[in-house]
Amino acid sequence: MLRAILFSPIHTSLYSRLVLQGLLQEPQVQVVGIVVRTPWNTSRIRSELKRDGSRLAQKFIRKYLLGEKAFEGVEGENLAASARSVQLPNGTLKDMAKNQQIPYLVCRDLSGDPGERFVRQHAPDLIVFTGGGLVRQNILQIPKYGVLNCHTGVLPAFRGMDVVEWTAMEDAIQKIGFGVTLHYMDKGVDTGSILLVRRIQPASRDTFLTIRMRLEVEMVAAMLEGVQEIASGSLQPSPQVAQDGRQYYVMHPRIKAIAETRLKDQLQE
Amino acid sequence: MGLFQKLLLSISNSLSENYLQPRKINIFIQKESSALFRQIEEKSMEVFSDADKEKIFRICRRLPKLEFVLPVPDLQDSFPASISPEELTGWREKLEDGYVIHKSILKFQSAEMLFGMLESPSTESVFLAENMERLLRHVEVKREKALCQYSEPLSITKSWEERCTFVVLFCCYANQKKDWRFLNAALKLTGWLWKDFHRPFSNFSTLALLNALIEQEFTLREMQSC
Repeated sequence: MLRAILFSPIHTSLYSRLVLQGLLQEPQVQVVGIVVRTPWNTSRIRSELKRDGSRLAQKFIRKYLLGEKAFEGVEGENLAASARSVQLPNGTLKDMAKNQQIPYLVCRDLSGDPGERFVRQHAPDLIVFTGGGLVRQNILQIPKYGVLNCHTGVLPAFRGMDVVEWTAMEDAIQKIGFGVTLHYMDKGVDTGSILLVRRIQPASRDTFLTIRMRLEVEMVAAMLEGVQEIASGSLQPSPQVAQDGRQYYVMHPRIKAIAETRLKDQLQE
Repeated sequence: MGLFQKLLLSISNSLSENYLQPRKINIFIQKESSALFRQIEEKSMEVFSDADKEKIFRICRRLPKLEFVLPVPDLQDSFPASISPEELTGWREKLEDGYVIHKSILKFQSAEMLFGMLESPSTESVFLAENMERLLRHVEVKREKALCQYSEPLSITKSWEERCTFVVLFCCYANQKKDWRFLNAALKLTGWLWKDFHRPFSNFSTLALLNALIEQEFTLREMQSC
């Protein structure tokens, strides 16, 4: 039996809830704890505001205030449609933890003292990371297998931020493609050993938003597939070579406007 | 979906990212270039320092390739001589562990020296690439606080000039390597420089910002046309 702890950025996260729901249905996996980062933390708000600017307000409204309702009327694959298809119960991670009697911790920083004590106490084989900021070495070294993360881009080519947009910007839709990569976390950004890559085939009418929505669905699938295969011992990580890719950062709106044009052009080809 | 939720969703969709708009940049370039060219006509180039002359030569070379209706002076001289290979070697030898940036502290004159390497035919590409990557990460992580600490105490004015030179360096590197990440960082840098420039009682060099913005717009155009 594989002992797993789930890390989540917020108790309402649809991605975290779908992953948890999948893990709970996995016979070879026992979820031994859930650690959620509180959004009401001034240092978190300050650092995310600094990084994301007005995008933080968008994120807050969509993910915290609206949740599944943000997807209403949206066609195609998305997390809300996945939630409906797997009959994800309403409520938060806290409700799910209570129903399943899973130890639950809310903390300011996933790698802080309370988080570390909780993780050590429940001795997981694996941490399933579904967001919540940096995970430092004190946590990374605890689980037998490591900390699992799903990145919204194809590794090793596209590490870092806004990689969906950067893939289009670099004219790499044909060559690299859009996809998600399951990997172990290490001290770098998206540099840990790769477990699996799942790609999607973009449609001619896709936009960055629809591609991101479809990739979010793939992230849940990749995470569950990865955990299942780690539990059965059939998945071997392969280390990344830094020179095989680049580190990308938040895209400036003027570059994003060019990337949007390039996306359209490449999807028409 | 309820009315309140619809309202929230429309607010979320309408939130646009705040950045330095091209329209503002164009107005600035038009106005400040005109003022600069008037000054050159009235006083000649001799009143400018060598560092400023270099900026003016660059501006005059770049500006005709952008869509501005400006009588750009026809400067007969070429660019002042760039840094000699001996100077570059001497500067490199003084670097701690071979990097221009160490714990967020920049070696003074890094921008100028790296720029010299970029333009020199005998560029040591590994050294340049490693240091440019480090600088990119520094700018993206430190953001507004980037490029502010130097190995030697610098006046605010000098530090401003250095930051503007970094924009030019990032643009030229982006263009030469066709690496959009550096232009992306340059666009962010000019946005922060713009805010500093327009703070009350600031007394920063207009020429340095003008040079940086023209280089940025020139690079954007060049890279898009590729």
